[in-house]
Amino acid sequence: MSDSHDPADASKSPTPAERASRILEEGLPEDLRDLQLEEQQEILDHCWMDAVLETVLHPDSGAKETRIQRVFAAIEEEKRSQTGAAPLRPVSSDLQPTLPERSVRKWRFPQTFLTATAAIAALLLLSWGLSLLTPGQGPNQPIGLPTRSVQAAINQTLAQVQKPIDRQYRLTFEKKERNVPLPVDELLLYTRGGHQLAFEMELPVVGTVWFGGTPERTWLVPPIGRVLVSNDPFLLKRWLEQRGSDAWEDAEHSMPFLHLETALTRLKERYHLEIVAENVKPQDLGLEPSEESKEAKNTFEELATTEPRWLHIRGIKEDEADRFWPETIDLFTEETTGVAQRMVFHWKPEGRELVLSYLGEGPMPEDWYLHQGHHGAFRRVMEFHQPAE
Amino acid sequence: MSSLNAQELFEILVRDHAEMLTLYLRSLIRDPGTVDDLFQETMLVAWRRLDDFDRNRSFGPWLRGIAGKLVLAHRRKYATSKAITCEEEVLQHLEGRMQQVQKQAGDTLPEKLAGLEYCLQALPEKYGKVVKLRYREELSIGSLAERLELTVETAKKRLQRGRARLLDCLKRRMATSVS
Repeated sequence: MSDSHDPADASKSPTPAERASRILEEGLPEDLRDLQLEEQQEILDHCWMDAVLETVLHPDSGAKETRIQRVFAAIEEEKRSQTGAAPLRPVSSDLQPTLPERSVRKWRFPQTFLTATAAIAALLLLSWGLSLLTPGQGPNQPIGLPTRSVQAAINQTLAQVQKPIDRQYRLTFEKKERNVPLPVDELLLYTRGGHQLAFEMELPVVGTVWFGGTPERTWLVPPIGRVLVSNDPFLLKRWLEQRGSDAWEDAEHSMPFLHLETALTRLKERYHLEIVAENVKPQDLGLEPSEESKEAKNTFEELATTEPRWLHIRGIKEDEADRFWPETIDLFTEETTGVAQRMVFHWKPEGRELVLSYLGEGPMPEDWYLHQGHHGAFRRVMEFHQPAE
Repeated sequence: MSSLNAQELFEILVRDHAEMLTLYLRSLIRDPGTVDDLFQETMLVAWRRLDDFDRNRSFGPWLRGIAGKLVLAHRRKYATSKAITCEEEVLQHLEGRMQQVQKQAGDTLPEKLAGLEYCLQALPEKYGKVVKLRYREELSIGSLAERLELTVETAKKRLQRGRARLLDCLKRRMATSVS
């Protein structure tokens, strides 16, 4: 029997085996309902055979156990929610470099999932961009710019970014026009210098996902399945889309924020910048240390202990054509050092607000910004690259 | 003797049927993440409806019945989902295959599918190589075509034919070898 492909066959209807091959090798979704029942059955047999081969020739006992653990974690979660106990995990629990737990998954599918991913999409894009905006020098290392101009302050931020220091930020996200709590409203973001980051998300339905890398090389560690590594800047978007979410439809417009120079340039050139106040005490803003930041202080002793004074800069979007960008950005920098202590992003029409709060700095493991730092050795890794333009 | 509570009983059932449920879902869905999601959803629905389960019947078919409905619902909701859409009757056919496996000797799924090893050995070498590279080494079609110095189309054809031969062989063995 010849294995070669005969072009003359192209005009014929595909056989069930060929249809199955298209599903299996090309990943095409197939609606079989127009076919005879026998043909549908035969196609499904081939797909079943494929699944048998996967199961027997490449068994993954770790994945089985993880699936089971997640089921019982979800059951426990459901029980807790029925008894009214708050299941939210404190963000401070992530401050120590431990491997992520495969545990609780929220179970409100799919509207909540879409809401969450929509929120997270915006949050993540911005979080990366914002992390790149953050200074990379310790709070006790003043740069000492002689004047306090807006441009100088932003340039100071830019100058700090390259320092290879591990910093932690808390991200909080709100949607004020709806009095509905978001499924994911708080994240802990780890950054090193301006170009490496890692963060953990607890996504409803999906579970715990670690995402990170650099603008050039991103990785994603799902709770189960292959770890993904790619040069594709839309890796997270595509991964979410595969799970049925269209929340990243407009992500391309936000992607420039992933690149520091572009983000800073845009902030400088496309926002009207003004100094709102100098010598601001955090207490003046009504900011009290949260439980999480208290814990963070214990963990990261480098957190400033002297009374800080902040410079408050506000950027107002000048061009409405930049419709995916926040209407205003409030930046609070520590006056002596230039460390960005707090950034608040407002999207007025939607009433969304993202707050980035500096927690401190502290060394993380060397592999923390690599996917290997967030999964066991048994996990398979799939690397794929988009062709260069 | 203390009796098992509902959750303890359910945990035993989950562990016993996890592999079979995964196999069932993998037959219908190409995306591993979606398989995991629907695995969990199926188990949770089963947990919530445990009272509806007739304990005189087998748990596996009941569980896969839930899974089949969830797969079809998932496919209806997400047009781009890598799930197969078929008539519900066709799912019964798949369930038939699963029950054939269930009846094989052995405690674990790989033990029940031990006949596959015989079928692999009986496969002509040109098909066997492609199948092993694809499934054991998890090479993409492009990579295995390159490794074997074949065109991608030829590699696909060989894989398709190899799988078809294995399917025939395994069906025959399962029909004649029931515990």
